[in-house]
Amino acid sequence: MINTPKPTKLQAIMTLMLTVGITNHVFIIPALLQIAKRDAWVSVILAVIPFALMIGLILFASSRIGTQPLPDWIRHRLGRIPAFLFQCALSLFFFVTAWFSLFDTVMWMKVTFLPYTPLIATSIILMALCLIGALKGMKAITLTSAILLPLVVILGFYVAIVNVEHKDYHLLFPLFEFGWSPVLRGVLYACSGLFELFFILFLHPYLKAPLNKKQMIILAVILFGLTLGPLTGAIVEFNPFEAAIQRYPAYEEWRIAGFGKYVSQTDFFSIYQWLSGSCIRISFALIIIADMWIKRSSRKRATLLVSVTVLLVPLSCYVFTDVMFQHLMIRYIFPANAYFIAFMTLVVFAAALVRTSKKGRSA
Amino acid sequence: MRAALAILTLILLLTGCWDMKEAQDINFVTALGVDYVNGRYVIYAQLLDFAEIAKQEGKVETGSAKIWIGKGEGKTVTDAMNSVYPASQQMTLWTHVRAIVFSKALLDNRLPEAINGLIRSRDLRYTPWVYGTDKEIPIIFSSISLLNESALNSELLDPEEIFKQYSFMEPLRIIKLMNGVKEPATTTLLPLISYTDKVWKGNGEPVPQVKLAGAYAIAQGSNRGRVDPIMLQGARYVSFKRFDKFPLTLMLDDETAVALSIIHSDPKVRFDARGTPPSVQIQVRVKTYITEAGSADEANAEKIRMLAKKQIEAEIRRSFTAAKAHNIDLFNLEEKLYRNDLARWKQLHSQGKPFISLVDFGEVNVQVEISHASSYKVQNH
Repeated sequence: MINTPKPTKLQAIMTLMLTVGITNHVFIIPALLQIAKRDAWVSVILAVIPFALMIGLILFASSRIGTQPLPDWIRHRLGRIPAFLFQCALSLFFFVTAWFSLFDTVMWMKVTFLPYTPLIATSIILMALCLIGALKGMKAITLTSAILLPLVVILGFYVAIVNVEHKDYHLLFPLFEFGWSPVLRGVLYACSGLFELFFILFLHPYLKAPLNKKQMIILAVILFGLTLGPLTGAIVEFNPFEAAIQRYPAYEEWRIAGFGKYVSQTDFFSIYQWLSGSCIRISFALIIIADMWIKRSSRKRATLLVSVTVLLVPLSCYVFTDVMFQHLMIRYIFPANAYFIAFMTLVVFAAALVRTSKKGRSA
Repeated sequence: MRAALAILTLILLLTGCWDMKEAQDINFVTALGVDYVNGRYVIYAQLLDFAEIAKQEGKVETGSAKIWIGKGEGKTVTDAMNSVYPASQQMTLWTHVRAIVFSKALLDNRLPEAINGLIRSRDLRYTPWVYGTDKEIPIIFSSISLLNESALNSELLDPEEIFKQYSFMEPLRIIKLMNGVKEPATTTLLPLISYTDKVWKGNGEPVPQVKLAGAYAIAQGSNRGRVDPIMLQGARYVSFKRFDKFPLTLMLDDETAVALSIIHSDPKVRFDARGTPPSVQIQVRVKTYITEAGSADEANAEKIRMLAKKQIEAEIRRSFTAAKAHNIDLFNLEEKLYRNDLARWKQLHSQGKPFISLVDFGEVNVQVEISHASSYKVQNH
């Protein structure tokens, strides 16, 4: 990887489409449906308001940060101790992100395709792949994304289109059957996925220049669409009451996809989509954890990555059952995710403001 | 070194073959029947010989099809499925089930539980066709093979083909039956399957063949009653989402019989829910063509159109009245109100009476378009 150009902005957007997309497109959907049922799609639309605010904050912050690595930048602006806390908090955050993505993925494989294969086997193989990606670095991850994503997108359109025969858009109404409170709670969950746009701040140091306003808005619109697509799909295909009790609504949409008399099942394609997303997401999280502490690739960095990986495998297999996991996610983790990212973005934003008051215009 | 590593990786991949499955080692269930007898679930699994699935060319044995039917029993539907396994010799797979038949007893008592069990167990998908029946399920399962046709081409396992020629009752997949089970105001028509030995004889002997005989109205998970062919007459124009082709026979004044094929129906249901009692106005645009018009000159398009209009209007009115007498919301009016005027729906719903009993039938207006008269010409008027 010597002397190769930096990842393009398009590759950066594609990386985030996989990293953040899998949350918005898959992980968050059962939570949204459970909380807001038929109104879930309104929650997503209402989430545009906090999301727009968020984009504003991120844009402002990134215009000040440029392509500097975040930990360094925070240290410059706020000092050593806040920076240390920032590094700890984000390491923990991305560790949990990787952990839960890994768990959800291996559990999904266990429930759907590999009931006789032990969790540990799928977990080791998946983590080995993610570790290789993380060791190769962000550049490799962005290139891999650019290769994986096109087919993921094509398959997404495929499943949306062949399922048209099962769709009845009347099922989107009536709205607010159970009042406003489920809708507003749903907004929080929609934000939990959308706010992950903030991951872009960690990708910027690898680019020549940060995404500009237009590119950021394009990415935001894509993430928004990624949430709305399978969500409305689940509502109009299954009806909201059925969809709300499904564990993997996005995958159930694959299970009904088929065409003609002889090709009645095509759900195996979803494995490609799901694994592309979670593989890139976990690698991404690993790289950010390493970035928090050790910048250059070195023996130390490799040791850190390997240890995190080794820790994640048993954590994903032996800590919780899926029943506990989904309770935990829907009750605590998704809301906490939204609050945490909002808080961190405010911190970064505040730091960006401090600069102007303290040091004037000096670069 | 690298080559050794690559070979080692390939060898490691071989472990994936530990539990490889071969198609011939699996019992593929093609249809599943669920009955409910004395508080216990009884399931029937239909297996087809592979030779019966593939359409054969060349020399063909005719005669009785090789269809095996397994029976299981248990406290729950999965319990009943499990009870089939011990005597099944090899692994039994349900994901290729193409049709599920529910008995009337099950529909009357335990439909939501049975469906939840089937879907949660992941053994079944949302795509099989579903039916209700008041006949013995094993007879239904063994009455699906005509001559040397593949059993997969039967009406039970592939209802679409017959629907194209004779749109008697809209086929339904389990995914859409869910609306009748879980939506709070929807009535779904579940095709009622039966059999007859009056139509076909094989080597002089009557051969029973499955046929659709009507529907059950499923609303909020329970069976609201049988929809007979007379009620279906009207439902076809108003409630069906699709409509490929269905005959309509008319008698002109001079006893000339005229046959039309109805190929399209576009209903507009206007529901005045604020009135007391709420009333419904139905407008339908029907597209037809003439398939038979006798040999007399009496038959002209205008006359036929007027007659068809009158007859369809009468059919719709009669269907509504007949269904209302049984408290069946045949035209799915409650759903329309629920989706468009939630407040009024809640108000009417809270009265605790069957919704349809509160509704009056207003006007019905049918416009018939005769698009062509097939091979022979017909006078315009």
